[in-house]
Amino acid sequence: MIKKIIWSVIGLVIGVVLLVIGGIAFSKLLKEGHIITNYTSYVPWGLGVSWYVYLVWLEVGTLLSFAILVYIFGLKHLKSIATILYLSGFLILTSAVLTILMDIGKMQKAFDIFFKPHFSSMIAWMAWMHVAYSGVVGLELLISILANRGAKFAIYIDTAFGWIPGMVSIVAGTVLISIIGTLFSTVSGMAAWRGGSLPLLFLLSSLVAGIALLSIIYIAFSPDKGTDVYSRVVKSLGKTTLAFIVIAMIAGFGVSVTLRTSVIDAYFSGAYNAIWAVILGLVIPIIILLLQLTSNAQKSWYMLTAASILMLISLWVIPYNVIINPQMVEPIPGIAEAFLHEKLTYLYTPSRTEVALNMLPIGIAILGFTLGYWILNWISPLKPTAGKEV
Amino acid sequence: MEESRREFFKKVAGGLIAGAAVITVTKKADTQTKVELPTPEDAAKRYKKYLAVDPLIRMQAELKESVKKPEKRWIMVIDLRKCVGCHACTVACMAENKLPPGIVYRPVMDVETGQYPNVSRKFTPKPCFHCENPSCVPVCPVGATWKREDGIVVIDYNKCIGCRYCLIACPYNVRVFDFGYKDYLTGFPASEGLILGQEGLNPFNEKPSLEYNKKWKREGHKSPVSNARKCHFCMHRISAGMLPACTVTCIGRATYFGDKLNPNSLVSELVKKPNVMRLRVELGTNPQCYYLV
Repeated sequence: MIKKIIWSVIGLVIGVVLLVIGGIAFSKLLKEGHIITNYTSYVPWGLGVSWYVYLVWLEVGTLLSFAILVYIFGLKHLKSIATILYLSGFLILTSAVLTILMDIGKMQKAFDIFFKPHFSSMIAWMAWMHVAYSGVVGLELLISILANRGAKFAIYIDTAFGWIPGMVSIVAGTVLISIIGTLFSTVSGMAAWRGGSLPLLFLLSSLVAGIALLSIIYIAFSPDKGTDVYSRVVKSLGKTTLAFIVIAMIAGFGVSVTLRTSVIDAYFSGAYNAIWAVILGLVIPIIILLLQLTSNAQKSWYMLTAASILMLISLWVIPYNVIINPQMVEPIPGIAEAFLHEKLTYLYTPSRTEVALNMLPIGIAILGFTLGYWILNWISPLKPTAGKEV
Repeated sequence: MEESRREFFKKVAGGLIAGAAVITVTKKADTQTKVELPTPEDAAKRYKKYLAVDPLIRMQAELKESVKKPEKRWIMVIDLRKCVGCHACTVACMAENKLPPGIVYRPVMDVETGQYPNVSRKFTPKPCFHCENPSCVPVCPVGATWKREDGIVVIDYNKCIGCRYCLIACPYNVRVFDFGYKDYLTGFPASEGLILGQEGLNPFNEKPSLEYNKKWKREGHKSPVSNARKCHFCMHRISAGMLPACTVTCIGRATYFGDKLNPNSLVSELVKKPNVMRLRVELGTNPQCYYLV
């Protein structure tokens, strides 16, 4: 209990600090407009867009991995953390929406996407799918809470038809990630994005980032801690993570063979070199997870935690580089020097205010999660599944 | 040795003949350089045919004719051989549309090629190409941009949400985002008389832009601040029967504007020339700004 309180206080403090920093940046945005950002007319999508993509990868990947493991591979014990997982999923999706809202020039008009839609735009489809997916996750959270509280109809739905929302979640998540990938791959003028490989790479990257978050949530919140079931699930998560990383790396390598060297150079150059993301977020976790295969129960969860944290803190560089670096290439020589202004360049590094701005949704998500965890503990505490038929 | 009398007379006769020839040639040259200057009336008559084909006068007349027609397709032709890179078109466009800092509709690209001593500079003005298949149009999530019947790709500032997907989609980077810069002198000390042209800038900043035949006064975060913006072929001028600002300002008569559907128009003649070139046609956008190279 004391541990829980300490972690909650830490969560609250971090959440409030991020909220204050982000709030100050947000007030600056409202007052001064998008001048405070460092993106330009030639690099129009910056940190905000790449951060949105990473948050969606994380969220969709987490729920996709969960649904695949539970409903396809039958790892039913994972269901013990379903409510926490859905809560985190809902909050991450909400913070992703806030991130992209702040990135829009006229955020007050953003809802026109729903009321005055243009069906040929992938952004419109992305917005609708995002909302629909948030609805699915919200519904799953509700059913899970009610089932935990013993509501008969919820238990019935969860046991008899639980696979339906699971499958809907798989389909909706896959569609959302594919739409986001297509949003980039249909831009004909951008050689680095063009083609059908981007949606597939986005999906695989999402699975890799998502399973890392799923592992951390299971290790931190599983009610089965200290049991054999816990050790078994941790091992299974380690193996699945390893498999996802290997598959993603093989697919990534396969796609890179078809790409031009200039495109690969674009992905691996820039302010944040993606080679470090590959080493820290993929290669080192592979080594750790290989060692985890033969480790004892105690070391096993340490190793999975270390590998997952490394993945989570490094993989954001991939959407950043994939989205931003290709924009920093002049499509026609001479544009950059044709008219000189700080907003008419092909150079981009996020401004401090821009970084602070993106802390606001994270702060809100952390605060929401800390408070939501206590509310869940109160209204629908997690139930251990060890020794039970699940 | 004493010279014979015959040889002496020969030399004298030769000298006389040469002298006469020189005098004759000089006289002839004098008559060739003599130019009669025409009177103003004669000049008007003599150069009438040249004045009649001044492209601006011709294009102006064609534009007035085409504006009345229900079907027209505006295009631009730029003769890169005539462009001297003076940037007058860029400045004229900025003045016409009251563009704030950070916004440019018609930059002129200046590319140096070759190696010393065999170097050359190529100037390429870059307006919006008003493509037949514009990649910026279908990506707009709220339908705030579209291609009009007359070929001009427009933006509805009141609809645009500022997502910048159109900026990403345009393969020519002609669209720009209005970040909300107020004027060119923000940050400079307000010291009257010290900054050249400071007095003239305030009225410039205060006057509304007349883009799309509406008045857009720059106030706070109101549109077009935080919107996508781009060249619109000076639509407001066309509807008043005037050529775009860049076209009339071009000192080398390098920019041509007109109706492609009018077979007798100057632009129709120019686009049929073999030295016509367009940028990034491989993308299938079918740009409607042609370059003569």
